[in-house]
Amino acid sequence: MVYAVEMRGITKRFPAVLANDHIDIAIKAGTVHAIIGENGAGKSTLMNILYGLHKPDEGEILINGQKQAFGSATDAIDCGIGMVHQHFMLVPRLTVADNVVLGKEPRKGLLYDRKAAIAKVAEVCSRHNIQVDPAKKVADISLGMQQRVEIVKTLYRGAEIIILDEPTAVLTPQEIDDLGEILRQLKEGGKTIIIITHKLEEVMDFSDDISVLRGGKHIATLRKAETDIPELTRLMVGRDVQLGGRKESAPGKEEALRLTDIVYAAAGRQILKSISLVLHKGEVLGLAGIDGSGQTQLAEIVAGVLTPSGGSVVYHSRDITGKTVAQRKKEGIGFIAQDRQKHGLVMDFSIAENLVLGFQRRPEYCQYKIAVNSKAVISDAQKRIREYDIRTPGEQVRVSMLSGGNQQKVVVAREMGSRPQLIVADQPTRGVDVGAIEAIHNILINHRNKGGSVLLVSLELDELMMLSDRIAVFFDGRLMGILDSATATREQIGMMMVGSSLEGKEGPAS
Amino acid sequence: MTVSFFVVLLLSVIRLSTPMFIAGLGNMYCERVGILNLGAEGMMVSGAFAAVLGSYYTGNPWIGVFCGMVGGLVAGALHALICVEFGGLHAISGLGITMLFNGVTKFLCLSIFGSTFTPNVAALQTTKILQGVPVLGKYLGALSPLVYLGGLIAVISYFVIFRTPYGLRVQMVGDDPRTVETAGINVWKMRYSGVLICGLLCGIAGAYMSLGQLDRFFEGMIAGKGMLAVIAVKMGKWEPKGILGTALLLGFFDAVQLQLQINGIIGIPPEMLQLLPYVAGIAVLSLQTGATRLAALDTQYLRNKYKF
Repeated sequence: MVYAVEMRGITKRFPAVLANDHIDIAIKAGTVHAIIGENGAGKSTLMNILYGLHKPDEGEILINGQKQAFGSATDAIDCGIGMVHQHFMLVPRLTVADNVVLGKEPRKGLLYDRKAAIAKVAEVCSRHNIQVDPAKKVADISLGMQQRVEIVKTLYRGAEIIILDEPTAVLTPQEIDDLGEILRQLKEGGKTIIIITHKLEEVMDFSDDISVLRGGKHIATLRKAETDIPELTRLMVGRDVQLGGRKESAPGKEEALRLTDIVYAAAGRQILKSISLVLHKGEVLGLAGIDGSGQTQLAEIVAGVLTPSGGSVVYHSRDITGKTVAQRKKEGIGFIAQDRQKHGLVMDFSIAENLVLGFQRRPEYCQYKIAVNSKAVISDAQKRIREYDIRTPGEQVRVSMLSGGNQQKVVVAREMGSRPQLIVADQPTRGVDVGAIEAIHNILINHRNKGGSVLLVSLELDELMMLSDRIAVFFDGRLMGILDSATATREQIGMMMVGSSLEGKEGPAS
Repeated sequence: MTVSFFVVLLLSVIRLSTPMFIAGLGNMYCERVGILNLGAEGMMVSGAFAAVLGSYYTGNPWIGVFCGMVGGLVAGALHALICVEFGGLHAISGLGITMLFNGVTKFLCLSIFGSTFTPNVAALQTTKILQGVPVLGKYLGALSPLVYLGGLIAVISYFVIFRTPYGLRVQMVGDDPRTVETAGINVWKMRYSGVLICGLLCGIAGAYMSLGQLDRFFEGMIAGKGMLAVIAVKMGKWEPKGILGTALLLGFFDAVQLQLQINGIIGIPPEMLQLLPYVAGIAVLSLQTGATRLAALDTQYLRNKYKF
């Protein structure tokens, strides 16, 4: 049988890293093929080779049985390969049609024929049953729509083989379903689809075949029907994974944090409406809700990043409402921000520098009161890189060079390093691979087992149910109720997340 | 202070704003492909001097204008080499080019003519063929043909930017070069083209100042017009219409300043009055908040620098 794509013995070396080590992968035409692996397993490199952005050091690529050597993305596009990058390649200022036709613009004489561009894009959309308005500006459409524009872009160029790099990382659950539908239709239309991902649930939803990469090597290719998530996880990580950690004791009774009537408004909108809740020592309190229900703002109010419009934050019986982030850090509140690249790390700083950020005034890092004691910073960084298993060539590497999971470990290592009592974690496992998720879960649960408190925001219900002792559900800035995670069901939480409150359980439970 | 005063003022505004909007249009191409150009002043100086040289040696002012374009192009090529090819810092390169060409032209002027002034050369101060037009001929003919050339360039630029495939690509390169590269377009060629067009147009603007307004070159004659052009591009939001409008506004303040100086109406030192267009520029720029920005302006783009 002729495969749509065959990659034989692909090897790619980067300075100090063997990214792809003699990888053999064959992809059948008209199927959805997932390539999975942890961050740094070499899946993106492999796909960039297929798309002509990197040249392999060894190996050959066959497209529909024909040997090809791609010098650039243009060669790959000409061969019918399209790629949807994780970070969308769209210019927000311009319209959907402009973005789609870039590089292959319809012309009328010397001029660019914008009407024809819109008509052609609309035609491509209707042929593949994809709903996008070609005349809209990209800035005005949702991320899910933007991803469709990217798919349309590859189709406009006549792609028969479409590569999607982490397609669901930025999508809402509803948009993920829509994407699945689009992919199914494309498959029926005869297209071959390759998905790169580390999220196993969607692998099981979308794909026909699954190839697993680990450490730059091809580990296995399986049919979806013949495998399951635990097996894939084991192949991906190389060992059994225990998510969620193990709770060793019941939560304490002492109050660690008490929020009373917290109100927050921004830009004339009420984002939090009178929230009151209590977090105990030795307890994980999960905050559930659809993205944007106010739970992130609540976490930021506790961390001190936002100042509430009303209400009080009491931490260990002291009112800290007006205190700054720095003061709260001293008091023992650690904060894992949602967007690690924007708010958690300075991307151009080294790992060692990022690890002391915010704690640089502590006596152990200081010399003569004003200078930074770089020896202490470095030896401390080396210790924590070992302790938290941050995979890096050294402590002087810039964090921007690390994979998402390792970046997050740097944030966690820093926040845990100050031995906080309360950890505010806003989506701590967003966009990190399963190995790092396991590590972060263990860190949070160990913290809890030692009597610390965790305020956890997550969009993943499974994660909340695994880690939390109690789950507070938010809807539209209101607290719909607090459930005991041992007895709560997914359905109960799901109902409350969309606004139906639970009889008799509403209001602050303590 | 009657009709004739306003006509004189209007002609004066047009004359004074022409170099700013021709150079501004050039800078628009340059900035739209992501290269900041503080070297517009240097490119204009180069163009102004080369134009005079061309006219001096051939006696034909149009050959002079052509030489001016080449002069601007040389300065533009240098900027492109530094910023596009080698990924240098745009602001430093631009300021360096301005200083370099101020120095080089002065040096050449002294070594060729033995003075910081060139002799008078054949110029293009009036448009003879328009003088025959009934009623308006007197006024239309009093402007340099380069003014009309500038108008033409503005119209063409509008079509190039908003109506051609090349223009679509120019718009995109200024926002996101990676996107353009993944669409199979050579980002470097685009960036080179923008900077070179800018050099060419700045050369024409310089030629206008030395041959269209005057008939000679002297040291310091560009007097910050290139910098005002840079301001005009930002104020005009990188659109030909906006740049034209801003250049006319700045030209108006320049004309008022000149009139006040000539008439000596108020006892203000001329140096204070000369500040007027620059102060106006800064004032308008500071009032303009939340202006749209080109995301990739003043960034380096080097092949293989990005991990895709």
